[in-house]
Amino acid sequence: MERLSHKDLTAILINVMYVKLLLTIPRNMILIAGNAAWLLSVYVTAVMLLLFFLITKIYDFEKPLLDIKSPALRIGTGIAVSLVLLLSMTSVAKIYPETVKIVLLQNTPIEIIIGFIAVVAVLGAFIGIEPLGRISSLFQPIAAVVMVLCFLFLIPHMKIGNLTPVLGNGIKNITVKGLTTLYGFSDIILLYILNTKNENGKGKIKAGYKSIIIMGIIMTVTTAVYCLIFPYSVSSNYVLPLYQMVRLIQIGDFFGRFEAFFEFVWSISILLYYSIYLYTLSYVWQKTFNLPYLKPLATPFIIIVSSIIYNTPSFTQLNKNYTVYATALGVSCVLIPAVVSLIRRGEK
Amino acid sequence: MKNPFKFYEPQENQSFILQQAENKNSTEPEAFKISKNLKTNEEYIKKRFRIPENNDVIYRSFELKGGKKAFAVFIEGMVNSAFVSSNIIETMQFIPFLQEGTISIKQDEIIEKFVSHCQAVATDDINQVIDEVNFGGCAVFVDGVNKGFTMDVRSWGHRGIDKPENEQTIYGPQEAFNEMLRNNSALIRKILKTEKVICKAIKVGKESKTRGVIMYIDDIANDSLVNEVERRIKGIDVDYIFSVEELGNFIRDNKFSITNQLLTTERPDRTARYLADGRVAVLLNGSPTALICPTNAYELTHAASDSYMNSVFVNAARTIRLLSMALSVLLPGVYLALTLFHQEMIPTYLLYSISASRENVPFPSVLELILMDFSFEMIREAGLRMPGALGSTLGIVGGLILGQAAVSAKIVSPIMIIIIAITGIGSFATSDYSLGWSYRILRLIFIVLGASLGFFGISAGVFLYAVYLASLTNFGIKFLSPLPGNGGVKVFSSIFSPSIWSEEFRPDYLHTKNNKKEAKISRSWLSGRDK
Repeated sequence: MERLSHKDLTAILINVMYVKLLLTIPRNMILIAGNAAWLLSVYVTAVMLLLFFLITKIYDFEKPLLDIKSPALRIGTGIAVSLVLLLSMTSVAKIYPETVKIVLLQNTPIEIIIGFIAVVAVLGAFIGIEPLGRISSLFQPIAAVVMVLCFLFLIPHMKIGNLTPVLGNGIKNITVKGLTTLYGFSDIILLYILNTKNENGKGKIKAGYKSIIIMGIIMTVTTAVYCLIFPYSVSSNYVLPLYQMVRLIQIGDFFGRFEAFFEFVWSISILLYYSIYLYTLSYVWQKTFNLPYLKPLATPFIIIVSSIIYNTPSFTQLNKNYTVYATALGVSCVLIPAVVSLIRRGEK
Repeated sequence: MKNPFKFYEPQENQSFILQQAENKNSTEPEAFKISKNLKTNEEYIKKRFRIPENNDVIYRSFELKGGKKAFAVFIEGMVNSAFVSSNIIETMQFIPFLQEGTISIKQDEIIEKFVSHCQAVATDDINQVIDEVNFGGCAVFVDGVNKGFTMDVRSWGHRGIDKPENEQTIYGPQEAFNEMLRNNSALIRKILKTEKVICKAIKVGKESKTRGVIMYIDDIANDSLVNEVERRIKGIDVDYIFSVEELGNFIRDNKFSITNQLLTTERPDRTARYLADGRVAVLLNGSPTALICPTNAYELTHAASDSYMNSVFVNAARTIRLLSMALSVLLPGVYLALTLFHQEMIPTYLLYSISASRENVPFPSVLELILMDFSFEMIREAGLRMPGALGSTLGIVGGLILGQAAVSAKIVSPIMIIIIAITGIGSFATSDYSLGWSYRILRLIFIVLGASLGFFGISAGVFLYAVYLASLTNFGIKFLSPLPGNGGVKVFSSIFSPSIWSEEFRPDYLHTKNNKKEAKISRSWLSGRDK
């Protein structure tokens, strides 16, 4: 497998987490915490940092996740990891083509959009994780500049009064129900799977902390801006909060539609997400079953993912099962490394 | 006069059809050892050079002072005849020493004592003698001497040192390479002025044995880079090679690539700069350009003039250049995406104007765009092949008259002319010619993506192209080096130009022996070090 530098790994983690922020996280936070979504964001970031700190105490970061001697346990873990990755990927893969159809390509059949995304994702995965890491690093400053510009242009729409009541839907909702939004950090599982150039545990731990903190900051700022712009109840109605925000931007009479830049960033981030996940899935499968090559696996996996998203109901209906899949993703990103550490200790 | 109403039998010699030749692989010449017997040497040389069939190979026999026979062989037009006459034939005719009894013990001294020419070699390798003659040398064989003598008297017609044609600058030197290898290496040495510049000789092509040099600065360039360039060049198994660009295509990392990965320059000053950075340059006889190894994606967008201006102005120029390049690739695709899929993004009055201008145009926008783009490319290609004055006339006829006529005939809309014109001007701002070709191909891909899937297709195209670029390598470095992960500031200083006094280090991806280029505070009067 190609190996990443720690900085590229951090960029990959931030990018895949950022995609969930672009799509579903802010709305789900608003639904749980109301105007206190930004507080919830601070809270889940702190919880995730704590959980990650605990994992660093028990998990050996110098070994890849599937470095398990017993074949049965390795296969079991591999299948569990694949299912988690598939769940995470399909949740995004379901929302994105539908969003593209609604926002960008109203007259294009969804099958063509899904097919095209599948082809691009396979090509990206085929090129390899190292270029994907490098592009993630290169792309991040561009995405950051576009986000900051968006927020700056949105300042005239912000009303400080929208943040009250400060605790939103209540402290219980934030602290208990809010834990389901930990799934926003579930992509941290890639940290345990992907290999780095220098098999140095410290570098990976640093990458983990960095990505959680940076993501926490972005998430908090984004939800805070969203809360400042839309009063509660209105804010909970929008399916794609970030897109809704950038649609408000007006720069003079001529540049009335700033969201074009946003859509560009949005599409590239999500295509990176697809390719990274497809590559990781193939890699997990290769390690699980000791296969000689991993890249040919990308095509069957994208067919599976496309079939799942094509045959599942619309994502708005899927949101009814939000608690189940969010909890599954949130728990697994902590549980899997913990279980693997226990298995390794048992093998010793 | 032939009767036009009468049928004549075609004659045998009028119906020539080229037949399959006898398949003959190029073979090594038969082994031959230079003999003391002049007749044997003469027969071999005549056979090898196909004398007298070969009209320009001159065989000249003469007699030395003591009556001993000798002959010279050279190719007319490749040698300086005056040198051959005065420095070789005339000198040898008067050597008193070459007489029976003395010659066998003194043969090694012939060149040292009697040949008044700066570059002369005595060898017993016949192939070396033949190679020298083929490259403009003069070979001399003397009866009773089992060695051949070769003298460098090459002199053939060549261009002088002209102004650069493709990399013009307002400031800086105005010299360009020409087709003479030694002129070119001397032009670089003249700038660098250090004995640490190494000129390693190479020969490429089994038959052509095209001579060249690998140039680098010994205490800066990474040895493994130099060895790799040399290894690849030595590994080329081809009969003939004619230019450094061909050589570049042989030695590049990726066999098929839609982006140019070769940096060639016709400017000695630019080559010297790259050598001072720790890179390797390859020069080939007959090529007025130097091949620089390795290079990255950002450097291909730089221009020769960038080195001679204030960094503020350079960055302004680079920003314009980068925007122009982006427009030349993306503008037609974005226009199609906007007009076909995202009309809501176009301000209302502009939308009215666009739709009004397209009202009577019978073709769909895609066809209209491809038609105009193809016409523009035709004009450009034709302009390149025409002599200078006619080329500009063709541009005016094609661009102005044809464009105006096409709009009047309502074949294309005025907005399309504007789009194609901006795209064309943008593509002329591309500093590297081959990169321009790469952008033309990409433009077509983006037209298809924009026309079929709007902005989403264009984003996907940008994503795939970026990942593809990131996967490329060039002589052991990533084509998108400096890696963004290693510090955004380095990427920034690769795309844009830092001030000349702040370039403390050489590019770190070159892993040079000496990474430091200038002092931390290079303007020493600021730190008081000059006191």
